[in-house]
Amino acid sequence: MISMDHMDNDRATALVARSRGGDERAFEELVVGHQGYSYALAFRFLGNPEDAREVVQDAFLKVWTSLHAFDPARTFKTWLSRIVVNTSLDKIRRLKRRRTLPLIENAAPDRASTDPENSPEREQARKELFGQVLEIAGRLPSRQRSVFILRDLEDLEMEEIASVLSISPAAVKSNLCHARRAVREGLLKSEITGRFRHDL
Amino acid sequence: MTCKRALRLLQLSRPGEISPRERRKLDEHVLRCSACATERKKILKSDIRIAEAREFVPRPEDARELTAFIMEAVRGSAKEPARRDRVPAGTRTLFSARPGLPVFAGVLAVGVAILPALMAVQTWTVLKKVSALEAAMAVRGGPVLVSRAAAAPMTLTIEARGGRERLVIDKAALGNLLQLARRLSAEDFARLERILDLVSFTPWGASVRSLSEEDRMFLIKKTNDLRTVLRSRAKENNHAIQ
Repeated sequence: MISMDHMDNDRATALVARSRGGDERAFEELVVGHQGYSYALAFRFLGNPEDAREVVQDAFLKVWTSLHAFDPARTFKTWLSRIVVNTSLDKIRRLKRRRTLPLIENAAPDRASTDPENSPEREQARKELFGQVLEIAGRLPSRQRSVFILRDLEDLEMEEIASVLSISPAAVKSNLCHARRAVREGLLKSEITGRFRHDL
Repeated sequence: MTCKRALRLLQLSRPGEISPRERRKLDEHVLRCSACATERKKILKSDIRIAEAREFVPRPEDARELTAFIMEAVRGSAKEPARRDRVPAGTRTLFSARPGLPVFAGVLAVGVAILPALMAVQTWTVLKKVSALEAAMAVRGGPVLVSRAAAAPMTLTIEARGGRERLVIDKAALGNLLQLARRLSAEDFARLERILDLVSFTPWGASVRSLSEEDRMFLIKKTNDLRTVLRSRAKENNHAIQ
């Protein structure tokens, strides 16, 4: 499910134009309209709220200082995604670690609902599964991880991912193949391990 | 279709990831091959789990506070956003003030000062600059990781992160070169840009190219390789290298 906040590209482009002139209010509106999406994306790379917050702050700071570089022929979302992904990867490199167990306990769920599909139990199960997937994805090389997160967790189209990561569509496919194989094998293993523990 | 090919295509299980023709051939193969059919079942099962994981969307606990956190940084950063005459700082355009190494600053300052004279032989200029980098790297005993906190202008560094090497170039250090680049004819400008593989010039600044080019840089583990790459690129473009 895409967590993109609801702001169409025309509106975002208009806000960028106003922000370029130093209009902080316009920029703030841009932030409000996209911070949820950016946070979710950063969280999926970093696995914990504090790092995700920092990345989102850094990313918007980069957006602010490089508004002139935004090409209105492209979508703001693609440009922003690229900045958030790069900032997340930089952060991971800086921390010089590969995520072993994402600290997802503090991640607030997307929504509270009385719908059985979104019951607290169901949400908890999703959260655990989400943690497992992040843990496995966190062990992937950065490009494979990026492709996997953008495609399978952010639900971006293949062409969009190619644009965000500045790679060819063929490279997206290739990386996606490797990443999915690793994630699927990881999930299978964790399922078997879980069953084994349960049997014990 | 071979099983190897089928197993690869099976990974691309979501709509739009393979062509209808590939899908048809894959389906035909899976109908005949029990091993691939079993694999497909496993993949479909894990797809359901991944789709469930996708349903969980992390949200900041306090969205307003996050907005304030971001805007505080924005307001603290500058009075107004960068304009076209400033250095691009988004994505991987690496012109933010960066850690300095005095040796780089010195070498670069000399290089930039004599640059106008060298422009008659543009390719040599490029190699000279790279050589200055190499020399500086040799002094440091290889790629250098510099902390962002110790930022200083006038630096030209190689920064290694996560096993990768990349150029970090400060605008101020290239100011003269940029001035010169603006005066070049379109043809010379394009030639310079083609040869200077790692640095991209624009009318308002210069930037290290982003991800795809970083891949190439990733391959450049040794400084000698850097020169080789530049030489081969120049040859491709039929430029004589001194």
